[in-house]
Amino acid sequence: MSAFSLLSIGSRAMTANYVALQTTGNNIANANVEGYSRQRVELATAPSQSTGQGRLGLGVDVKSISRSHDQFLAREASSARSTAEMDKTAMSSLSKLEELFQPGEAGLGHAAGQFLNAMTGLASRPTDLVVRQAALAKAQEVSMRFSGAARRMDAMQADVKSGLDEAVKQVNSLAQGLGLVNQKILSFSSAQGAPNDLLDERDRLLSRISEKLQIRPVTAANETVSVFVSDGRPLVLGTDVRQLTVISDPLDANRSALALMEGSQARLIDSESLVGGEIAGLLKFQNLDLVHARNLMGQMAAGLVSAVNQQQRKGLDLKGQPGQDIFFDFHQPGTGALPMVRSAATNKDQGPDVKPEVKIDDVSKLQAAEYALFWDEAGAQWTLQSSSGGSAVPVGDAQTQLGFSVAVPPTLDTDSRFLIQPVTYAAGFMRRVLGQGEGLAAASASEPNGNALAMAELAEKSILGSATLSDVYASAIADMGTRTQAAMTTSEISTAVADQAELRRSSADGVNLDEEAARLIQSQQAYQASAKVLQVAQSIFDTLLQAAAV
Amino acid sequence: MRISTASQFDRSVDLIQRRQQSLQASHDQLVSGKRIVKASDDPTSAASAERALARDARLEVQERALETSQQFMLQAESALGSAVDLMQRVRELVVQSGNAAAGDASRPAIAAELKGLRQQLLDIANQQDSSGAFLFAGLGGGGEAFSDGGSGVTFSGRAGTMTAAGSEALPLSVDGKKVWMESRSGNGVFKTSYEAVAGTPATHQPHAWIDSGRVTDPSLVQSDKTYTLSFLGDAASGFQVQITRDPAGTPALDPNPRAYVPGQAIEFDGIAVTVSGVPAPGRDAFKVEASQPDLSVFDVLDRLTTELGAPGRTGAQVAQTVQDGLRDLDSTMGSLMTMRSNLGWRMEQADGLSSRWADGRLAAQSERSAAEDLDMVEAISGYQNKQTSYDAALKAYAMVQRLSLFEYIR
Repeated sequence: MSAFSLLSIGSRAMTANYVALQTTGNNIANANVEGYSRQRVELATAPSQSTGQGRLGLGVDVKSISRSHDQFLAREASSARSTAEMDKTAMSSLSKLEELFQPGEAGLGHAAGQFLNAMTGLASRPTDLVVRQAALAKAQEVSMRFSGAARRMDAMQADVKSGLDEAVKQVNSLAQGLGLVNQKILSFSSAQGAPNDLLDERDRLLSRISEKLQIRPVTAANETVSVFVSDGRPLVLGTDVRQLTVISDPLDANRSALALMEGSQARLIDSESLVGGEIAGLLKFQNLDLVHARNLMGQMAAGLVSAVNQQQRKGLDLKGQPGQDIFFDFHQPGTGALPMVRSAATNKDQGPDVKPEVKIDDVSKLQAAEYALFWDEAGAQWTLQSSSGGSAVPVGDAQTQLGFSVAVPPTLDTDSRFLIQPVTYAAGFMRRVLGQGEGLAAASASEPNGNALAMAELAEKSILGSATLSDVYASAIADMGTRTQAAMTTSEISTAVADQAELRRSSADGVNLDEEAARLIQSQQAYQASAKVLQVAQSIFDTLLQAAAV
Repeated sequence: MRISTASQFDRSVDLIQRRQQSLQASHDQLVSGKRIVKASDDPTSAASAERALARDARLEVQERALETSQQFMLQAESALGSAVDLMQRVRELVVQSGNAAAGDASRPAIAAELKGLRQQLLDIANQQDSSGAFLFAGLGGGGEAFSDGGSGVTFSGRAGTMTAAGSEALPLSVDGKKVWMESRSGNGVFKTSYEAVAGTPATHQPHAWIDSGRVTDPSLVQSDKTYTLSFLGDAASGFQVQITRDPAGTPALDPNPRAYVPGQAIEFDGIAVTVSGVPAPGRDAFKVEASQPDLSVFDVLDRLTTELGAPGRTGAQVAQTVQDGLRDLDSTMGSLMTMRSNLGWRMEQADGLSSRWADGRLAAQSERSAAEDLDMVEAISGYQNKQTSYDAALKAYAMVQRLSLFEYIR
């Protein structure tokens, strides 16, 4: 029988319970820290000692302070959050884009309709200068609305770029942070394991990165984490950190794309491989929705300009001269014309003369799309693939099916790729060039209002495909509205999923103050009891001493 | 399942925010009165509303064109009405001048009044609307419809009618040439006139006159022929009238002269004319030719003014003038009245269109409203619901956040 063993039991118990109290206190203190995983003290019975009376327990030891962490739930929450961020970004961008397709009196369609309707008034009073000037004012209004919308889309494009820049900057600094954490984790011996707060920090960094860009984290045996971008290339390999960067899209320099710096070279990351995060949302919006909106608007602008100018040229103005264009004809080759061909940055430079030429043949057949031009090995011909899907069209069929023709020089390198954009940027090129009311060609050869009568019919004529201009606009509104609505629904769903995943994660890993309060009491009682044991051991010792004193 | 304290608070805050957002959206709708502020609120309804707006705008513009035409037609119809009234006065004067008792003395006064009436008619023919366009200029570009040169009134516009936009082609001008200057001469089928035999001295005054004639058998009328009635014989043995046809054609006209009886009808080739008075053989002759659409109101008046104003004319000459004058006045008045009634039924047509289009506009506006306007009652009740649920979320938060074990461990 040893008083020392009781003392040591007591003191060890006190220490253990004090550690438990400290841990509980730490949990309470960190309850609201983002990503904090609650810590638990793992107590273990000390190995028992064999005595004459049987095996005697020797108290309690603190085995470890473990971190409650469910890897699977954490990854799931992170991935769900990534998707939610992507959808949220796409949705909010689409909501802004949708404002350009306004229904009602403030919209593009109404302005275009008002201009065409002004021709009816011109037919009633073909020589009245006031009526002519009013019609021209409406022409100015509609071109300003179109070009204004184009400028806002350019601004949205710039916003995408600056959003990407900002997000990439954050990812890079987070990646740097991750590299440092990995380094610190490495410096701890594997026996002891990495400190919990470092692990929490590591997971926090991973979660923040995935909000910006969906990543695949891979944990090594030594607790360091490597991060791979969705196409498999590494962003962080242990302590080796690469940088992301924003570059111009190789096909359309107006657009941005993501690239990974490998050494000093930026290697493009295919936008379609990115499936989550704010960056993916921005790129998806830029490449799908913004392009589509530009094409819709450009198609309408092209239709209106072509139909009006053509009719104008058929008539005579107030001075008896053939009518001149009311709107700038951006499809006519010449200075200031709409550029319709973009060469990929990766194309071999064959000089300025060796490139495809695009000519618009029939505006009414133009689609609201842009086309990738590439050499099809299987069919041994140049082929066009529309951005709005559908099967590829050989270049020879473009004139009849798509309304434009492409002249490809025979020496063109078959590895080259081009982007053909007959209408994409057209809206920004819309402007009124006829300044004088006298220039409106209201008269035909036989009647002073003959051509005005024909122009008045344009509002009800099929300008694009088999639809009138107001029908085309109404469909465009519905198109963008449906996209936005779908994006809102998707965002709601993915946010709900992400919230649920986060709830599950935090329910496993998070701190519940009531639970900690209960444990506090528990540990406090245990501590008090252990202190009592110590006190009893001490008094026994005193008794022994007194008994042994002579 | 345990819930971490942090996530508990997060969720409560999240719920409150969502309820608040929903409340705000509902408030925005109430303030704007529209269910659809942007297309994503309801894409198909937004598209319908847009199409309805386009239809309404189009109808509005067409209504305005219609009104322009209606105003024009009203003015033109009223002008033609005034013109017809003036022509009636001319007719009265002509009849008056034919009265044998009037004599040479009163005719100059009549001629003077005719001149005045002619000027008034010209003013009507050159009437402008409020924007300065000439009602009767046809397809004329803007200049005056009729100009009065030294040799009579000529049409300065362009033949044809300007129409307003729209499938109904409502008129914006009248073809002045057709109305004022292209009446059918003669009685509509043929025209009779005095034409002295070639070589007759200018001082010769006829004592015979011919009436306007009539058609007895339309199937026998040969409208490509010109007939000359010449006279033979003398007062003692009786006069004969000989009719020649040019070109001769087949079957040949009976070349034999017939007895001439003043006031008796002379019939040939399906037409009958009556010559009265005493003809001078070898001097007097009458021509019968096909009617042409070339009779001008102003020429008629000018001729009447000149002839009636000339002194010393024979009774026969005056009778001829009166005969021809009345015939021509009836023809020209007919043209004016025809156009007037034409405008009348066009105006009726326009009224019908106007009311149909007004209905169309109402329908389009209702459709638009149905698609995008807010049902106020539903919206207010919805708003109150959202208010209540927001309030509930706030209360729940207040109650829950106080619950903590720490409250009880003192």
